[in-house]
Amino acid sequence: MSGTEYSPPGRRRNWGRIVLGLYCGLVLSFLMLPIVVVFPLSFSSASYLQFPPPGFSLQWYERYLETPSWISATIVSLQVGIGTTILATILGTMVAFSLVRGTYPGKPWVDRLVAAPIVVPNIIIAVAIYGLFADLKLIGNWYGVMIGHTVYAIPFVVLVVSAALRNFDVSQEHAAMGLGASRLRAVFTVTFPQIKPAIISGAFLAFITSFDELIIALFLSGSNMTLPKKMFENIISEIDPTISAVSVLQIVLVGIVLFLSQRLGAGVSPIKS
Amino acid sequence: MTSLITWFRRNGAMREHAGPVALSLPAVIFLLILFAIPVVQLMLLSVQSGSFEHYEKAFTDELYVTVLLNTFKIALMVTVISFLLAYPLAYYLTIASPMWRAIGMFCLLMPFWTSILVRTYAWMAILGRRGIVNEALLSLGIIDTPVSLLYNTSAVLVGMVHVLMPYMVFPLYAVMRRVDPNLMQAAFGLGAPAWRAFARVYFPMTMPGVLAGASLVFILSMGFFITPVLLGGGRVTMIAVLIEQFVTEFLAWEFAGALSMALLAFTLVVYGTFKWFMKSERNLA
Amino acid sequence: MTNDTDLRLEQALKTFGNVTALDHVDLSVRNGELLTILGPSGSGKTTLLRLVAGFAEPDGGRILLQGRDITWLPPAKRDIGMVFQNYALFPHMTVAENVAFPLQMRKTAKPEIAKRVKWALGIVELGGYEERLPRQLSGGQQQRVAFARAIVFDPRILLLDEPFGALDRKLREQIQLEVRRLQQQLNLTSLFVTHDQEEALILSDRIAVMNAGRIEQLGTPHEIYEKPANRFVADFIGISNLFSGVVEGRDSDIAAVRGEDGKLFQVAAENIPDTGTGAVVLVRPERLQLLQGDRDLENTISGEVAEIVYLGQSEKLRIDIGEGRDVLMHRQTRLGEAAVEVGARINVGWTAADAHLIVEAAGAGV
Repeated sequence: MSGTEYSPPGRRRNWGRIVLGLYCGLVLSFLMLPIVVVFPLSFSSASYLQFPPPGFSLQWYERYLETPSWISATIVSLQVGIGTTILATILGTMVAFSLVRGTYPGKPWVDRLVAAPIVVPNIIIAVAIYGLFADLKLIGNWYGVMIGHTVYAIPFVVLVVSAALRNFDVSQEHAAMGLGASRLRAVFTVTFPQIKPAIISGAFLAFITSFDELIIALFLSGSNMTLPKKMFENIISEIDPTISAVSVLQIVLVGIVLFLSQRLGAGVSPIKS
Repeated sequence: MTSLITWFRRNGAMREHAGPVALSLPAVIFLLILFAIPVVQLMLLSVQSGSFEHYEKAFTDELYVTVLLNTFKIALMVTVISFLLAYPLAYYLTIASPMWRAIGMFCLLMPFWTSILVRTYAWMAILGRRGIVNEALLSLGIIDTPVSLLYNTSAVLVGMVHVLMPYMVFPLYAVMRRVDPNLMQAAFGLGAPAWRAFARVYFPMTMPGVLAGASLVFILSMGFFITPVLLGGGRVTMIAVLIEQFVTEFLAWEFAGALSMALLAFTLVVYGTFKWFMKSERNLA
Repeated sequence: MTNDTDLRLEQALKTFGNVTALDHVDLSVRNGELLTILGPSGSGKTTLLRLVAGFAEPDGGRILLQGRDITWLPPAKRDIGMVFQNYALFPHMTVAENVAFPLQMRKTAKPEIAKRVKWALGIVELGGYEERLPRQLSGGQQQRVAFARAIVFDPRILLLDEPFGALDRKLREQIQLEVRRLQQQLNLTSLFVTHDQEEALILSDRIAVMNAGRIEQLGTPHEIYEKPANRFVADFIGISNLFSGVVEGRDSDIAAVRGEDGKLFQVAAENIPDTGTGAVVLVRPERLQLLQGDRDLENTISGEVAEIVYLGQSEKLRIDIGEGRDVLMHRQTRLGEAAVEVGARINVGWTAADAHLIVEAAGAGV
C-alpha cells in the first residue's frame, strides 16, 4: 500500500510513464543536439564542415586567435557588454527601487515604459535607434551599440531586482530607521547587502543579453563589429569551422558567467515569471 | 505661523514622492530619448506623406501580404509545435526523480543560454548538404545523393522551435509545480478515468501556464530574424527580414516604418489579449 | 502636562484620501506603564503606532515625548525602541551585530557597545548566542533578540507592534510574561499594539480600545472588561449577553430597565440616567446562574437549551429564549450535579450586581 500516490491499475500507468520518459528523452536530445555537435566540429582537422571529423586539430582555435578581425570583434563585444552591464544595472536598480517603493502619479506609465523593450520586437528597437543614430552619426561606435543594448537590458535588471525588493521586508528598513539610522544609511546597511545577490544576477543577465545580441548590433555597429555580427557575416559569406571554435568559446564564457552568477548572485533562473 | 509650518509639512508629502520620482528619472529619460521617441518617430515616418499609402501597400500588395501571412503561419506553427514538445516535458520535470529533473533542467538551460547564432550555425552543420543527417543517410545507404534539408520552412521551424520551446517550458513548469497532486488523486478517487481527470482537472489548472507560454512564444516568433535569414536562406521571408531589407538595402524608411508598426500592432494585440485573459482568470478565482 | 507623562498625543489626525484613520485622538502614556492599544484591524491602531514611531506624518495635532515635540522628527531622531510584528531582525547580521546596530548608529564608543550588547543579551538570557545568525534561532529566541535590540540603547519608550503573533500559543504565553517582567524591571514606558484581547488583558496596566479612528474607552483591564463604556467595547471584549431597553426607574443604586420584549431588568449602576433614556444591559455568560427549584434572583429568564459545548472544567450553553434570540451561559461543571441536556427547558438568572448598565448616547435609538 503506497499511501501517497494513487495508482490506477498497475500496467497502464507504468507504460504511460515509460512512453512519457522516452518522449521527453527525445525532446531533450533535440535540445542538446546543436550544442553537442559544435564541440567535435571545432576540433576537426577538416577544412570544411564535415561530420564525423576526420581527425583532431586545434587549427580553428589558432585561426581564431590569429585573425585580427575576430579578436577585435571579441574586444568590441566585451566592451559593449561591460558598458551595458554597468549602465543597465545602475539605471535598472534605481528605477526598480522607485517602482517597488514609490507611489506617485504616473507610476503605471513608468512601469510600462521600463517593461516595453521586452515586448517590442528587437528589430523595431534596432531600426528605431538606427534612425536616430544615423542622424547623429553615431553608427559604428561601440558606445552606440552599448546604448542600444542598454535599452534592451534594462527590463531584465528591473525584473530581477524588483522581484528581490518585493520579497524584501520593508519593516527591516523601518526597524533600522527606528533604531537610529537615516533613510539612506538604512538602505545601505540593511537593504543593499540583502538584495546584492539579485543585483549581481541582474548584472550578469545584462551582460549575457548584450554579449549574445545580434539584431541591434547588426544595425548600429557598422564596421566596428561585435562578435555576433562578425559570426553572422561569416556564416552568410563563407561558413568556415572557425565559427565552431568561436561558438565553443562563447558557450564556455556564458557558462562561466552563469556559474559566477550562481556563486556570487542569486542565479539567473528563467523559472519564476 | 502654524499654518505655514503645516504648509511646509504638507509639501513634505510631496517630498515623499520626490525620492522615488528622482530614482526613476535617469532610466525614464534614457528610455524616452533612446527608445520611446525613436519608435514613435518611426511610426510617424510611415504616415509622413499624409496618407496611409504604405499601409495600403503592405496589406494589399500580394508580395507583402504573403510575407505577413507567412510570418503569422510560422509563428502559429512554432507555437503549436513548441506546446506539443513542452507540455509533456514540463510535466515530466515535475514528477521526475531529483536526478532526472537535474539532468532535464541542464539539457533545457544549457541550450537556452547558448547564443542563438551558435545554435543556428549548429543546425546548418547538422542539416547541410554535407551535414550530419545527410552523411548518416548516405552511409546507411538510404539515399544516394545528399538531400536538401536547409533553406526551407521546415528548417526554419526546427531552428525556431529549438530557440523558443524553453520559453514555453518555464511558465508551464512554474504553474505545474503549484498544482496540488491531491487534486488529481481526488479526481481519481471520485471515479474519473485518467484521461478525464487530466482533461477536466489538470489541464484547466495549467491553463495560465499554457497561455503565458503560448503568447510569449508567439510574440517572439513574429519578430524573429536570425533563424529565417540563416536557415531559410532567403527563401523563407518573415516580416522582420523584410523590415531589415527595406531599411538597409532600399533605404525605404517609410515603408519599413509601416511594416514595423504592423508588427508592433500584432505583438501588442497578442500581448493585450493575454493580459486580458489572465486578468479575467484572476477575477474568476 | 504632568511630569509622569512620557508620551502624549494631542488631537492627532491622519487621513488617507477620504478615510479618517485617526480622528483627533488624545492619549497620554504614563511613566513606566504598559499601555495597550487594542482594536480590530482598520481601527487605526497601526496608524497611531506609525505616527509615534515616525513612519508617517500626521495631518494635524502633535506628539510629545517627555515634553519634547517630536511630531516632525525623523524616526532616527526619536530614541524609540521598537519591536516589530515579524521582529525585522537583519538576516545578514549576527545576533551581536543586530543588537549593536542602534548603538553604532549613535556612534557609541566600541568598548561601550560591547558592554551594552553583553548587558542586553544577558537580560534576555541569550548570552553565548552572539555569533549566531537570526535564521539559526528559534522563534522565541528571535523575539528576544528583537527585544534586546529595542532596549539596548536605553530608549525613551518602547513600542511593541503585535510582537507575539508569530509564536505558537504555548511559547507566546511564556514570552508575554517574560516581556512584562522585563518591562517592569526596567521601568520601560511601553506602547503595545494588538488585536488580541486576551493578550491585552494579561499584559496591560491600561488599555485603550480603538474603533474607527477613535479611542472608545481607556481604562484598566478590569474596567474595560467589567464596565465597558459602550456597546462596541462590550461586544469586542469577551462574550456578552446584551439586552437593549429604556431606563424606567431607580431604587437607590439599582436601575430598572424595560427590555424591548417588555421584560424588566434590575441593574446596579453608579450613575443612573433619567427615566426614558435608552440603555443596554450587559451580563457576561459566566455571571449567569442556573435556577433550580424555587431559587430566585433579581433577573431571571427562561428558555430551551439549544447547544452545549463541553470544555472539561466548564461548559458553554446556548439557550434559546424565543423570538430567535439566544443567551450564552458559561458555567463550571460539578460532579454530582444534574446534567443539563439539549432540549431541556431551564431557568437562568443573575443578580443586579452582576449586570452592567451601558447608557446609549443620546439619540442613539435601538
